[in-house]
Amino acid sequence: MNLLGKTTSLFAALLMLTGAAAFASDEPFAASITVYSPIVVTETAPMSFGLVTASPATQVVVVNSADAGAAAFDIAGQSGLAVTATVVEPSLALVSGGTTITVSNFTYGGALTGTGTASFSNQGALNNARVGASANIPANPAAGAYAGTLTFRVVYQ
Amino acid sequence: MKTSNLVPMTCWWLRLLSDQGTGIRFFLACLFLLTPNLYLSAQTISEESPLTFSPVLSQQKPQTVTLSPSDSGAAVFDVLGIPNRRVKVKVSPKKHATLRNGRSKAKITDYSFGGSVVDRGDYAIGTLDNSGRLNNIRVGATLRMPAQARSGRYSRILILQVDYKD
Repeated sequence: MNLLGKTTSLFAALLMLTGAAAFASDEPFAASITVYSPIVVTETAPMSFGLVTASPATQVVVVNSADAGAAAFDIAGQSGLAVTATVVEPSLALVSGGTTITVSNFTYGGALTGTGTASFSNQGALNNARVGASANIPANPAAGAYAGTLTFRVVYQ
Repeated sequence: MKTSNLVPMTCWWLRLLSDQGTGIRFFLACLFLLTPNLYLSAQTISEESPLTFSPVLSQQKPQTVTLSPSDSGAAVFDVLGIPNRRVKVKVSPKKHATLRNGRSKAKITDYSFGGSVVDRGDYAIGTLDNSGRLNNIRVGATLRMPAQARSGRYSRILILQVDYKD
């Protein structure tokens, strides 16, 4: 095979390879996922209605979210993200000596809006989230300490 | 310059340097080479949406995150090519593609296909319609997040590859 013939073969091989490459197409695309910091809630104060004197009439004791008896929490999470905080239970029955006091009508304040929403700071902090409530005390309640547990839930919006 | 344009130019140049008989052989060879290049034109791929997993919370244990091809975060592509031809669709790197967030990593362990193509495991098969279109090729994936993953955005570029099947 002369030089021209060899050159022919070389070109043919190159062009066939190039032609084969034209069969396929590639398209780059992005894949991504965002990982958020977990939300960490720390209770800094429990909800406390204080001392109440028994009465022959029913009573409603209200602790506003700004009151000293309100439950308070510090929350840590993903900076800049918004959250919604709620008390999971719609109400709580505190039972002692045959008397039931019902706690309900939870209210939100402090770092939270009235509907329980807020956003983490640039440092991922959300301190002094506060929860108030109402305690419905029946007439002539039994004397004693009434206590129970509520669940404060914080979720990313 | 496309290969199809290169072929006739090469022929012309070589023919000038060759004797008549060799020139004819060149001409015939170039015709042979030109034909598949015209017939098997490459496809055009359009990305309609990227592959975006839903956000997750960092957890104490490793977690597996699955994005189905039917989910809203699946990658979506449209392909334009030769009418009625079957195509093979795959994603590169095939497995163990690593999404990065600084020095933190998360690995894609599998891909899944849906929409207008049929999932065959590591790849998918579809057929271009009479107008040469194959729209809504959907790609999902499974991701392995490490324990206590650093918060932030993990990402990388993948490649969708489309080949004529036959």
